Amino acid sequence: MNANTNTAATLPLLVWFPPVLLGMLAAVPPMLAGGMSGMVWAAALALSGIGVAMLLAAQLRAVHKAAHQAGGEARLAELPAPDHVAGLDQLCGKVLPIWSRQIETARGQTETAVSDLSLRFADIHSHLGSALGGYQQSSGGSTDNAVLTMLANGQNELSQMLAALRNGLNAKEEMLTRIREVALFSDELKEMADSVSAIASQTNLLALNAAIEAARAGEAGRGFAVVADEVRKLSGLSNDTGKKISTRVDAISLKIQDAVHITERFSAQDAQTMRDSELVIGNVLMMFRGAVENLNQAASQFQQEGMAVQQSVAEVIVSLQFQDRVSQILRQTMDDLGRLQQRLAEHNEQQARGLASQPIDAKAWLDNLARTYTTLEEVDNHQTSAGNNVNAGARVGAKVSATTKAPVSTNEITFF
Amino acid sequence: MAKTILIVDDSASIRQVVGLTLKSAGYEVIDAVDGKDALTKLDGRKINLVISDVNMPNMDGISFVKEMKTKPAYKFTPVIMLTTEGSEAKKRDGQAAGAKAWVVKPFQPAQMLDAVSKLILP
Repeated sequence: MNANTNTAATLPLLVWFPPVLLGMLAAVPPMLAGGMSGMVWAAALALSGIGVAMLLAAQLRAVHKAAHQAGGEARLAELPAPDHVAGLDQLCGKVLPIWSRQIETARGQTETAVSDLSLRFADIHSHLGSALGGYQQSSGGSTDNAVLTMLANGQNELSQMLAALRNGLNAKEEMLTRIREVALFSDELKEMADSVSAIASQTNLLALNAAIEAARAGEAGRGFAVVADEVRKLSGLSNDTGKKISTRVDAISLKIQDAVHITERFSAQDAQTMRDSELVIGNVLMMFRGAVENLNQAASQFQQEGMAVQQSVAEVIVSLQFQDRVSQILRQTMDDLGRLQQRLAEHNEQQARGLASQPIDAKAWLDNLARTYTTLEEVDNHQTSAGNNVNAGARVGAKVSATTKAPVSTNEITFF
Repeated sequence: MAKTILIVDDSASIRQVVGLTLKSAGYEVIDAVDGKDALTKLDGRKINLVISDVNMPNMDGISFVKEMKTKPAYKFTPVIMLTTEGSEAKKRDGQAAGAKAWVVKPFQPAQMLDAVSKLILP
């Protein structure tokens, strides 16, 4: 048995133990940093542990070196057993429970925080799902169908209203035509009134001639003279009536002309109003359509962004799985610290009774520890740390950088 | 009717992520915090598939699956083990207990859903 194996198997429990545990702990901070930057203190805890381990390792190396210098081929087994690092057992008995509690606090806080985070993210994911689902339902699965149909219906109804107004306008035109026709009749009536006046004038002339002829006939024509006189009176009445008719027809004709002018003016105004209305309605509908298209575009963008956020949230929740690995690694580390504490307590008790304490079998201890591992990182850390025995302590710094990698998704599925 | 999956895991975040993954694919999900709790969920209701962790307090996943397989109503319910354990020996334990697949955490949702759809009972 050479010096190294002898040393590893018996004496320096405190040399090989911290590097192995610290190797396990070293895997934890990068996991935390990957998921939660706020857990920096966990890394600080691990690093402070590394400091202690390096100190212990340096002390032991110094002892080892001194042994070589003093005795040449002197064997480490000949050195006084654990007592040469005085007070170490007592220190460990006190410090191990503290380390365990610190680790448990870190583990508990991380677990609570990550559970809470995953719960909240799941909540956000679910709310986003409801919001996006609701939007799709209200828009009938496509972005703008409902509003565009509404707009088309509005345009249709407004067109019908315009058509009704146009019918009204046409009816007015029809009425105007009729009034113009009536105006033509009034001219004819005026001519007829003039004819009545002309006939009355001629009748008057005839009656005058008849009176002259009656006067020439003397007594015999007296009766005829009366008739001629009556006829002349009648012609005078006829002439008056003709003139009255003519005056009235003129008045009516003037009124009709006024009516025609007013109606024509209103008709032109109506036509203009119609054209304006059509233009305004067209513009309003176009504005609505533009607004709807903008809204749809914004809504569609919102939907896409919402889906992207939902996807990201789902990915965040997936990446929070690291917590389970962290918890397991920390639990196993704590368990082993507990075992060491118990072993030291037994050792102290036996010493107190004056009994010889059994040396610790480092290999058996490490084999037991290795059996508790569940993650590949732990196995990897263990193999690198445990394989170097006394020198392992000096390599802790290098080892930390080698294990500071986040857990790789193994994507491993085995079907039986 | 949606198919029901029982998730057994002591980690709340794992229950969340598995639950979310399965619910997004339209499955009904019930969960339990360890093997003992999970046995109380086997109350005769229809469960189309079980996803269980291995290392759990009170009752571990392997013991739970063995116990579940003794119940006639759940004898043929397929089980996927979801665990950080990657060793072949543990996998053989899982297979011997009656599990149909072994998924190592952290898992990818698409692969989990693929495994579920391959194994789930109609």
